[in-house]
Amino acid sequence: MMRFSRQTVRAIMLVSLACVGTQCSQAPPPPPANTGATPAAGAATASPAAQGPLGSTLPGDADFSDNPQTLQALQHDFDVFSWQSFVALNWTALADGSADPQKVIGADGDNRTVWDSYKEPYEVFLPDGSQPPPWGQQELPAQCRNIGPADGKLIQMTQKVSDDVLDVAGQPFGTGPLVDQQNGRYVRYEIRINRDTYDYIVQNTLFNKEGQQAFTKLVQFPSGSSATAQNPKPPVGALVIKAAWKVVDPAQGDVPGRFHKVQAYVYTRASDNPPTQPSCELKTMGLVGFHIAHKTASAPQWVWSTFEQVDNVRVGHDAPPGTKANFHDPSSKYPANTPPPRPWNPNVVLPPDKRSQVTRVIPIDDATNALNAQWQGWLRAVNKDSVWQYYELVSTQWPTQPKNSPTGPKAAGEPAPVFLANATLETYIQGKTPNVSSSCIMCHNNATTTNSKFSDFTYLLERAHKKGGDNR
Amino acid sequence: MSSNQDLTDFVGLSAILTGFGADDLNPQFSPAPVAVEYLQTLQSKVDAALVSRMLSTYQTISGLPPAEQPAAVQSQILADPQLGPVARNVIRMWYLSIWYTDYSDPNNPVTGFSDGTVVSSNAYTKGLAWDAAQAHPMGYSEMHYGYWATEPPPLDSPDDNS
Repeated sequence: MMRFSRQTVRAIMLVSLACVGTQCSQAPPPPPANTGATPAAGAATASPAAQGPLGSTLPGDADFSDNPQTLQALQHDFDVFSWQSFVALNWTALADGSADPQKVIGADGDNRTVWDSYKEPYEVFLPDGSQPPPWGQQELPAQCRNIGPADGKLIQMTQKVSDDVLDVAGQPFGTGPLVDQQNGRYVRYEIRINRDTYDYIVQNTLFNKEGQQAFTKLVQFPSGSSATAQNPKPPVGALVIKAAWKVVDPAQGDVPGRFHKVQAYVYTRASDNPPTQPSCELKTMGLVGFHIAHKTASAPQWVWSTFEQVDNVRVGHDAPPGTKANFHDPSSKYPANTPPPRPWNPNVVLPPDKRSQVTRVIPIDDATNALNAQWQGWLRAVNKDSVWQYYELVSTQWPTQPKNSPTGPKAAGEPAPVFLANATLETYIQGKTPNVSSSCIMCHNNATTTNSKFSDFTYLLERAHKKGGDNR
Repeated sequence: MSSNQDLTDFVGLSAILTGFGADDLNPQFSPAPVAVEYLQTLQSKVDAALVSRMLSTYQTISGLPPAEQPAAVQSQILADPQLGPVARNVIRMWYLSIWYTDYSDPNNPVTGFSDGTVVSSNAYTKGLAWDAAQAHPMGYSEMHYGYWATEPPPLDSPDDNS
C-alpha cells in the first residue's frame, strides 16, 4: 500500500492486483495513425513504442486529418479524441495540479489526477453571490472538518443533478439514486470545471444572478482547437467533468486494484424529506463513471465523451475469480434499470434485494470496443497493475451539423450517436425515445442562465445566487 | 432491401417534390437518415413494380438539365394516374412524417387520411413542415428556451438543413 502525504490534495489507496489471464503478457497493438497526443517523456515499465500514444497533452480538438470523411471515420476520430482526453485528464499530477512530465499515467498503478485540481461548482457559485476565491482554494462543510486532510476531496451529490439545481428546476431529472450491489450504498457524484471555464465565468461575472442579468451577449464559452505551426499552444477550451464514485471495500467483495481510488469526504446534506441529518464520512471511493464535455472549434455543441469502469454492468476483462459486477447481480429479481424504492435516503444502506440492477440498453459498438482494447493495452503496457486499463469508452457524442444556427430549429446540430448514456450517470433514462432517452447534446441544449437565456450547453450557470444571498 | 441507386433516385425525386435540397433530405453524416426509412416505407407499402416505375422514370428525368427537371416530374410523375397519388403521398410523408394510404393495391384510390401511420419516432422529429414553419413537433424541440421571444433566422439561411 502506498499513501501520498497529508499535504497532498488527497490520499490515494493503491492495492496491487496480480494480473490474471493472458492479455498482460501480450504486446499491445500498434497505435493508429491519428493518435494525436504528445507521447510522454518518461516510461515506467515499457518502451515508448509499447505505450502507444499515451500523452499528457489535453487535445484542443479532434484530429480529422487521416480518415476519409464518413460518419464512421469521424466517429473514430472523436473516439480517439475521447481516449486522448481521458488519459491526459487522468495523468499523474504534480502538487499544483499540472501533469507530471516524469510520470506516465498509471506508472505507480494509481495516481492523483490532473482534473482533481479543477473547481467544483459550489466553489464558484457561492451562496452570497460573491466573487469566488482564486483557483486552488477549497472550503469544506463544517461536518467534514477535523476528520481528515484539510484539502481533501469532497463528494456530496447523490444524483447527477444536485439539490441546488433540483430546487430551481422542479426536479426534472430526479430520476433516482444508483445503489451499489456490493454494499448497498449510494453512488456519489461530482462535477468539476477547468480553468478556461472558470475564467470565463469569473471574467464575465456570471457567478451571480446580477452579473448574469447584466450580461447582454450570448453566453459563449471558449473553444479548444488543435495545435498548428502558427499556433502551437492553442487554448484547451471549456471543459466540464462529471464523475461517479462508489465506496470501495474489499470486505464487501470489491477488487480495489480495478478502480481509480481516492480518499474522499462523503457529505450528505440535511433534508426534510425524508428527514436526514447532515453527515460526513471519510471513505475510499472508486471511480465508476466519467463524463468529459469539451467545447471545441469543430463542435460548438461540445464533444461529449463518457467512460465507465469495466465491471459496472458485467464483469470485465482480466477479472480475478469471484469478481462481481458493481451494479448488476444475475440472481437479483429487482427490475432492471429501476430506481430504488422511496424514500431516498443516502444514509440508509439498502438490502441486497433493493439494490440497483443495471443493464446497458444500447451496447457499446464493435469499433469502440476495438479501440478500447487498443488503449487498454497501452495502459497495461505502462504497468500491468495500472488501474486505468479497467476503464472503457462507451461512446462519444458530437454534432454532425456543427454549423447549424444556435437560434434556429436545429440548434442541436444532429448529434451522433443519437442517444448516449452512461450506466452510472444516466442509469434510468437509457433508451431510444427522442427527447426522453439520454442524449447529452439534446439535454444540454435546454440549459439556461438564471434569467432564462441559453447558457451554452451547461446547466452550471443556473446555480448562481443573488448578491448577499437569495433570501436578501 | 433498398439499393444505393434506389436511394439516390428517391432522394433526387423527393428534392423536386418537396422543394428541399437533396443534401438537406439526406445529409452526408446523418446518424439516423430518415430518407432510408421513408424509402423503405414506400417500398413496403406500395406495389414494387409501381415504385420501380416511379424511380426509373425519375432516373431518366435526372439526365435532363436541372432547370427542366421539375416540369418533367410534373408531367411524367405527378400527372400520371398511378404514379401521381404515390408521389403526393411521398410529399406528405416528408412533410408530416406520416404514411397515409396503403398502396399495395394500385387500383385503390386515395380515399382520405384516416389510415395514417407515423413512420417512426425518428421521423416524427424530422417532418419538413416544422422546418418550413420554423417550429417543432409536440414534445420535441431543439430550439433554445425562449426562442419564441426572438426573431427567427431567415428561411434562406445556409444552415439548419432547410
